[in-house]
Amino acid sequence: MDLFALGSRGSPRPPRVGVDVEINPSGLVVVTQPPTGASTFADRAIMRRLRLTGHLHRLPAGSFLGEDLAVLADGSDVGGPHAATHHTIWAPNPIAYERLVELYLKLPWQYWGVSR
Amino acid sequence: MKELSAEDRDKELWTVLCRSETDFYQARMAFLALVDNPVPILRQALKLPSQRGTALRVLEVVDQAIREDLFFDLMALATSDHSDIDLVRQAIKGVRKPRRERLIRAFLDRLPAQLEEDEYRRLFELLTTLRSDSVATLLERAMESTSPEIRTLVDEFQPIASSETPLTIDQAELRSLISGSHGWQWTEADIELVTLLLQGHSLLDVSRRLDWSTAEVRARLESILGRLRAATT
Repeated sequence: MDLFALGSRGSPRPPRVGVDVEINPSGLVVVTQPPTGASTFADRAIMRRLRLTGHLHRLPAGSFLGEDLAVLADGSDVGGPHAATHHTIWAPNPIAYERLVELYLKLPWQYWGVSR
Repeated sequence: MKELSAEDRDKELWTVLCRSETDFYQARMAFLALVDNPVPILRQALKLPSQRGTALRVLEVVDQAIREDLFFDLMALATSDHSDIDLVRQAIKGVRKPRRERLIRAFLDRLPAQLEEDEYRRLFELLTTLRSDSVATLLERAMESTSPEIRTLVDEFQPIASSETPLTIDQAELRSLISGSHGWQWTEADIELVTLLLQGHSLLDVSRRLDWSTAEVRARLESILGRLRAATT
C-alpha cells in the first residue's frame, strides 16, 4: 500500500531527534522497543479525521527501502499504539542520525499536494 | 513436542493479551499510587518517543494539575508530533478551558520568532480544534511572517477559525421543524448531522466525524433547514 508523510513542499519531514527518534551520546539512533522513527499513514482520510494537514508526500507501494530502513504497521487498525493506518519507518540497527535522515529523504517520495 | 491446535493457540494468544493488559493497569495504578513526584518522570518520558505513548496514557487518568504542569511540554509536542498527535491533543483538552486559554496565551508569548510552516500548521489545527480565542493571535503572527507559505496559512485557517464561532442555528426551531417532519424522508447522513448539532457538537467536530468539509456541513444543514421549512409551511 502507498504511504503518506507530511512535510514541506520540498520533501517529507525527516525524523527529528527527541520527537521521532532517540540518539545515544555517539550520535547513533537508538533502536527502541517499540520501534520509533518517521510517521506515515496509509489512509489520507484518517489523516483528515485526525486533522493532520499540509504538504503530503507519497511513498508508492512496494518501494524498496534499502537494507538500513524498515517499515512497521503500528496503528490501532492492527492493534498498535498509534492512530489507524499509522506506519513507522525506522532503522532496525543503530545508524548515525544523519545517515537515517539521508536514507529517509532518498526514498522514492512523490509530492502529492496539500491536504486541507 | 505436540503442536498446539489452532483453538489452543488462539486461547493462548488471548491469555497473553489479558495478562499483559492486567499488568499494564496494575503497573499504572502502582505508579500513580506510589510515585513521589510524577511530573519530572512524565516530562522526561514525553521527550522519548519510545515512552511517550505510555506517558500520554498515564496523563489520560492523572489529576488535571499534572496536565497543567506539563502543559508547555504537551504544546511543544502538539507542534511537532505526528504519531501520537491525537493523544497529545486530548491531554491538552484535558485542562479546563479558562486555565487552558491562559496557558495557551503564555505559550504563544514564548514561541520562538522562527517557526516552520509545519509547526504553524499543527498549532492552527490544535487551536481551531480547541476553538481557542488565541487563534486570532496566531493568525496575526502568521500574517506578519516573512515566509509566503506561512502567510498562505492565514487564508486556509481564517475561514475555519471563523466557522468555529458558534453555529447560529435556532435549536428550538430545528427541534420543532424535525418534530413536524414525520412524512419527510431523512437520509442517514442528515439524521447524523442534525443529531450531532443538537448534541452541541461544533461545526468542526461534525465535519470531522462525518468526514465532510465545514463548507459541506453548512451547505447540507442549510439545505435540510430549507426543505424542512418548506415542508412545514
